[in-house]
Amino acid sequence: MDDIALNMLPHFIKALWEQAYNTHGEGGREPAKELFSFSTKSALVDFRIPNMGARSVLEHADKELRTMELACNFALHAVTSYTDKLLSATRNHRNHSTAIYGLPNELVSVIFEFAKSTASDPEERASDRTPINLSQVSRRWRDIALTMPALWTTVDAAGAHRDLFIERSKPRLLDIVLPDYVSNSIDDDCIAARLALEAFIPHLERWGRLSLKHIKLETLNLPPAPNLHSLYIYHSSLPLHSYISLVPIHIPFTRRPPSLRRLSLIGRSLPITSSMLVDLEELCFHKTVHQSGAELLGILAACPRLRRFRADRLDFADPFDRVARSNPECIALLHLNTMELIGISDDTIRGILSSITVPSALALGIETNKTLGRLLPPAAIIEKCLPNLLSVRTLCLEARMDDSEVWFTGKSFGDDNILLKIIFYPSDSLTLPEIIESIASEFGQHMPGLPLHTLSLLQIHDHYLSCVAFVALISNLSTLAVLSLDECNAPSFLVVLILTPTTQLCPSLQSLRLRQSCIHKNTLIEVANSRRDRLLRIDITRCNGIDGDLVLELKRVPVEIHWVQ
Amino acid sequence: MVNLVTSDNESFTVEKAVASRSVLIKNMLEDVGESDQPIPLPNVTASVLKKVLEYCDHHKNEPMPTSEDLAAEDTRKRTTDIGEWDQKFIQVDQEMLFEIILAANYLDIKPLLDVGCKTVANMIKGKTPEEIRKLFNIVNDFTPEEEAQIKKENEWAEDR
Repeated sequence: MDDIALNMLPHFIKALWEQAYNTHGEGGREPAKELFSFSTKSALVDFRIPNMGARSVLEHADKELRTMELACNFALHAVTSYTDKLLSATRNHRNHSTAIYGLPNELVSVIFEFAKSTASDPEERASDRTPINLSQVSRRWRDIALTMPALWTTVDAAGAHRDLFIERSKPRLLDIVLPDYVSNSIDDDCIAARLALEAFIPHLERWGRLSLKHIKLETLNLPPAPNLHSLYIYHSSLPLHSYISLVPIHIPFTRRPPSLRRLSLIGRSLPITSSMLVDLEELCFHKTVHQSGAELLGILAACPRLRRFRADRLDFADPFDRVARSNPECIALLHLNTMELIGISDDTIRGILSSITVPSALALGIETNKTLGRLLPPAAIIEKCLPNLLSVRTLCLEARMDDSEVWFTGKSFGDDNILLKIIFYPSDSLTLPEIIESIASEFGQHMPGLPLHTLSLLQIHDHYLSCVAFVALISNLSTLAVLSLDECNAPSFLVVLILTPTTQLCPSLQSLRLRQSCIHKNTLIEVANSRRDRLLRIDITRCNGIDGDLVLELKRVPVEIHWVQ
Repeated sequence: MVNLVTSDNESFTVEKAVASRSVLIKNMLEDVGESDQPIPLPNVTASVLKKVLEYCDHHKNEPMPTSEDLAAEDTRKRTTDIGEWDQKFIQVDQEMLFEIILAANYLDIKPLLDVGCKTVANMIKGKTPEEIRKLFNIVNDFTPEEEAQIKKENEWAEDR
């Protein structure tokens, strides 16, 4: 380095100076321009001040000094720029030796797409910095991120990177999120919202999803957005008496309402009077307050193409059951594949389920603190309203004491398609054991004649579920082929499986699966002996008290035994 | 049974149902028909194939994703939820994780590819550029000009 500094650099700078000086003197051109075309192959010339008068000598020297200074600066710039590029290239080369750089660009793109937030809450989505962060890791990652329009589509309308996201997401549809306007002046908020949306007006054809929070809809007066497919409106939970002042959802789109595929309403249900819902595929209500059950059913009736319906903590001015009884005609939701009813009253759940007819593959999810019998429609109309329940072949009852929940899950046969999933949680008037007891007791009454193939009990102990209720649960399961007891401390359940001339529960049982459950040896032998013609297999996995002798005895029954100690 | 030979010349004999989780192998088997010929996998080492086959064996009874499923998935929002078993399965060191992703891509096992990519995505989420660099042992290779551009982007954010 010293050699370079002492020997080469002075010559280099001198040559740069000479080049600039001569060119400047001869043609009167800018020295800097010439320096950029300087070649290191130029001859190195000695510097001498010519023999002239004092004034001219000084002028000449000053000129030379300025040129020399310019040459030095340029040399410095050239060296720095070159070494910067060299360093960057070397670091880039080094990065190619890391494990993650072994992935091709298309796989890194897939990872980036997964890393982008998909939160259902628009604000959470819009505040996600992942796209920015990914584009600032390294040159390669930046190149990949900047060539992925899908990464940049969610735009915070009042965010700092708004214009950057709009530009980088071209030509994709935008997911526009307006901030939560909660100032004291509604008018100020509306002006702010309109100003925020102005940046998107030149991109109207790219509006795909729009999220509005606490905005007075009638003030927006939005232009037609031909490709807008999703709308998320967070509205205050206004008191019910102010209902009349609420405007219908289509009001912001006065000139041409879009045909929506997804609509989420939070806080307050707004009148839905527009044809913009005819093509709706997803409808979510969260903490909405409705005037009546009739209003909700009217909305469902207006959405014949609905695929997903989620109602989370709805509230009604009028009790729902009155409406349900006055609506004998069922609303056909023939495309519905998912329905979630969460934290709403049993009257409402029953009212909704009694007023619709759904496809047999519908996945119905309910979260409640009421008993099974208070949720399902009367058995007489269950086939008409919820044919999916009749397709259940595998049923599972699971106590999740750590989460204070009981899960009641029904699946079709041969696959993992969930048709029913009810999560029960306790209330002041209902404990978890009482919930388990009621499910077992009411199951046969509300889902009669179900040709069940498999029944699984998980962590259901006989101090949660009495033997009487267990009998009630299995008493009409004439088709049951597989019974599974998993982590069940319930020896009495096996006792009732012993066939006697008077008790013939589960006559078709072919397989008994016992895992980490408490079993009495003699009871198991009695069960196997009493069912020797039909019971084909017993799986025993890590059950206390089971030994080789018992297994040998069972094999003599004969029954196929799979034993894991 | 199907015989698979890895790049480091190790043989694996597996059930057809397990091997057929790979669309590449499934197509090969359909093209060749019944044959005892081993299938060479020049892009997969034995240690990685062992892991991949563990995944395939666990999921052998699940329905294969159809082209409609894959198309629908593209239009749906892509979550990074990973099943319980898959989460435990993919708890490997980074090198193996990326090898599994590459193998799943080569063997055309979409669900495994998704599990791998989701795992990496979950590692990235919520981290700053510096934290991501540290995580994957990447160094900042931007030139000062590029750094200045990035700084400008960040200043916009701070100014507004």
